[in-house]
Amino acid sequence: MDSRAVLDLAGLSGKILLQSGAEIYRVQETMLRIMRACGVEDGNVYVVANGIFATVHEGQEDERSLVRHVPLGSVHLGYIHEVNQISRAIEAGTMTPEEALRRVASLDIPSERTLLQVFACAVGSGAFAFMFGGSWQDALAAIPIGVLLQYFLLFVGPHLRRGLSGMGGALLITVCAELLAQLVPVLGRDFIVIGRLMPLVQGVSFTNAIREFFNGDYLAGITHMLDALMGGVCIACGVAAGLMLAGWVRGCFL
Amino acid sequence: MMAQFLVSMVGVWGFAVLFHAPRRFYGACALCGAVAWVVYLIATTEYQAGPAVAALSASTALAILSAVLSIQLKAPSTMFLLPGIFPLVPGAGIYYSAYYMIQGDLALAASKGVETLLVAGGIALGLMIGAAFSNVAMRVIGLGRKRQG
Repeated sequence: MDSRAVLDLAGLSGKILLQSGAEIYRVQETMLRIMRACGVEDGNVYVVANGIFATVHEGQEDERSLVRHVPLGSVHLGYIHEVNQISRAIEAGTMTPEEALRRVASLDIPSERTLLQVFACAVGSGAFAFMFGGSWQDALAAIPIGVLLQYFLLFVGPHLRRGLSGMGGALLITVCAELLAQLVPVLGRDFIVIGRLMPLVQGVSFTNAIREFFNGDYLAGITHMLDALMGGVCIACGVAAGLMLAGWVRGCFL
Repeated sequence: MMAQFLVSMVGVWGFAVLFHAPRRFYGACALCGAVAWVVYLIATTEYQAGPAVAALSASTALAILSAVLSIQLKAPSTMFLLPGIFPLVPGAGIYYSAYYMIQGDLALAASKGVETLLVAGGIALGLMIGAAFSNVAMRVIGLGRKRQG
């Protein structure tokens, strides 16, 4: 395999990993492992939270370099697992690099069906409403709002700026929960909202930020930490706006 | 407690689906999150720990469990950590801070905000302790801690 193809394979694998929410050290290690397995010993890789830089065969006739911008993406554990498996297979010699490049380039795990995702969001956050002290009525009441939220995230979310979808989602669920709690007095609005907020909270950015700090990748850690903080502030704004809006609606109609 | 365990498994399963985890790991993800949540509950109810200390112990347990599972099931530990962390993430804190802010009760809003940050810090410390502990433990047991890349 020539140096161009090796760099292609390593770069593409790294990009998929980084975008799917893997930590920096995992991306770096995987890229270096792939290079070594393809016979490139002098590979150099530098990864930050939203970019990859790599060179191979520096100072030689066939030296190559690669720069990739990788925007902060959404978590996809399936991709992380798949690329991990492929890189292990190359290392173990059970897969040729050419085959691996083909596999990685055409890597496409179909998302679970929309219906299952909506179901998971609805039931999952209903469970959270119960865990955080809500009654089972609260958990049930949270389900239709969860369906609404997941449809919002799936179909409106991708068109919004990062953070804005969190704000919009928080606003949506707060208004719905408030109005529902007004109509059915046994319900506790607080628990419904908290359960529902869980899919919006940037738990992943936060967790990864800590792990980056732990591994000494401070730059990526700060990027993720700010991402999580921004997300939190946006959600809080959404909740606040939702509470105000619901109060205003109630004042007008009830 | 049993009900809490089962319900939290359902909740974490939901996140495993939303994060597109491969189907055969759903069970392990749910188990991780449920264990973390039960540790959190026991810490707050049995030992009267504050939320930050409880989050610390729970995330320590979570980090150790996902390190063990990642070796047993040959998958990156990220697979189990990311969904499993969700019961601990202080979503309620964010909500109450915003709520009291709207009510005009700035003192309560600030105290909730600080508590949220403390819990976040507790989770951070717990993850680090758990990761460090499992690193050392693997080396001692002789698994060599071949990092699951």
